[in-house]
Amino acid sequence: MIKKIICFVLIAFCFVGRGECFPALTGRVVDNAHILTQQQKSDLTKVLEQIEPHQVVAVSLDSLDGQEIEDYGYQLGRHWGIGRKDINDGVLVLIAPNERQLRIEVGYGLEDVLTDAQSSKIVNSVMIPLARDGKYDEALIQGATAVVHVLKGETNFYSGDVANIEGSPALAIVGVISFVLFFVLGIGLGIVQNKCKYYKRSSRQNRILFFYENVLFQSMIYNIYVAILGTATGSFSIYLMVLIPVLLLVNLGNIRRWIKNPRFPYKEQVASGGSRRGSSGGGHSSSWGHSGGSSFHGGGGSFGGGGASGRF
Amino acid sequence: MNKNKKILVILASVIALCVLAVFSTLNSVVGLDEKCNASWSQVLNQYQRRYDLIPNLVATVQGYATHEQDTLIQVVDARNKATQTTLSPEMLDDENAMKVFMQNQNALSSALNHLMVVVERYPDLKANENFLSLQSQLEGTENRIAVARKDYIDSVRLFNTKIRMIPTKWIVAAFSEMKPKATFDIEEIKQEVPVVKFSR
Repeated sequence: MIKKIICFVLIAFCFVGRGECFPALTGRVVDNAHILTQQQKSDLTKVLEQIEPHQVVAVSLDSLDGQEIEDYGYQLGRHWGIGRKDINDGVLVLIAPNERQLRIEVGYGLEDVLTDAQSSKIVNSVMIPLARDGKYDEALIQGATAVVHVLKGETNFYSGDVANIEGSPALAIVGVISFVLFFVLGIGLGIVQNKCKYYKRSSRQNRILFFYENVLFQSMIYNIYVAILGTATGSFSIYLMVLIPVLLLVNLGNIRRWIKNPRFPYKEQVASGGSRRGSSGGGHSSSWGHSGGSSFHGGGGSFGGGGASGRF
Repeated sequence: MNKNKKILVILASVIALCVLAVFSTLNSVVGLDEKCNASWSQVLNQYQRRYDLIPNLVATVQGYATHEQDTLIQVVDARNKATQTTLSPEMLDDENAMKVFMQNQNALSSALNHLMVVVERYPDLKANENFLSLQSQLEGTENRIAVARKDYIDSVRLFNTKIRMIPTKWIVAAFSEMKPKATFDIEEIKQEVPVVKFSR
């Protein structure tokens, strides 16, 4: 039970501590300043969907929290993680009517296609004239549409794409492989234990139970290890160095009893292992990140301050 | 015999835990160090981008603003001076080198800033497509420089905090030669970003 709690706490820690004052990413159109109608929103969303797998998000901001839009823009983009991870092909089209600022924030990966000069052209010849007339909704819609047009003009997405896309599945594969590896390791240990004479004396049922307990317990430790490091690709040696002391510490009681009395009954240990079995099952998938679901969320892209901005 | 075994087990666990702690500390410091180097490379990258823009910009301005030779020469000189001082990631712990490097970059920034103010007087130049494109690229580059610098400052802050903290400090001193890295004031950024106004 205590291990279960520790495991939960460790996993929970990975999800706290990122509370900044940015608006929530509610979809491809985030209308925080309430300048769009429902119809305009859904129309614009459809336009922005066309450019998948690139991620273009249109945002109207109620407030910039006292910052300039250049400072706010890239931080917001990073916070949401717009664009695919490692490709960084996200674009934010921002308008802040109250501060009278607007900006096109371009992720690293699209800076070749949507150059500063092009962004600046969209900002100055499309968005600013509309915004000056007070048509903030049109400024945002036309600006975002123009961005989509520029991106579409690039017929073949650059060659880097194909190679990079493999990035995240590769990580998952490494995770699966290492999981299998530890599973095999567990089985190996189980077989070694099978040879143990104290073990041979225990009943068949107990032997099977212990075998599974052994495997599941290792996968649980591996879960915690993954949760702490936040990655499935930690090095094997470090893992072993975690595993061995933990195994020793956890089994210290049993080892002590075993040292005192070599005939220490096996049954007892199996019974005490009951709670371990339960805790190991679900947690593992947490390291794989979220998948599926119809809702829109950032792919983990980053921004480096590319793009153009304007005041109106 | 029994007692010996027990002690041995406990001793092994303690040693294994200590070794593990040292390893993980060193690994995390190395990770932070690499992050500093990467963000410094990004800063250099963006400064390089600015160097690359200047010849084109100067050539374009020269064609229109014939009376601004002094300003243009200042920009070219500042660029030449800045390109001469390089600061590789291995030299990041050198406070003085960083100071000189930043002084030169700031001089270039203010020369460019001055140029951009001066060109406001030439309506023909400001209508030139090529110049507008260069101007927006320069603005974008200055913004990228600001972001890269902030990222560098942030990663150095993490690194310096980490290697000055108590157990880490000892471990780093014992097993590696890493030193705190040089950084610069964030205030400089605000002074150096040129205010490039768009034609209305």
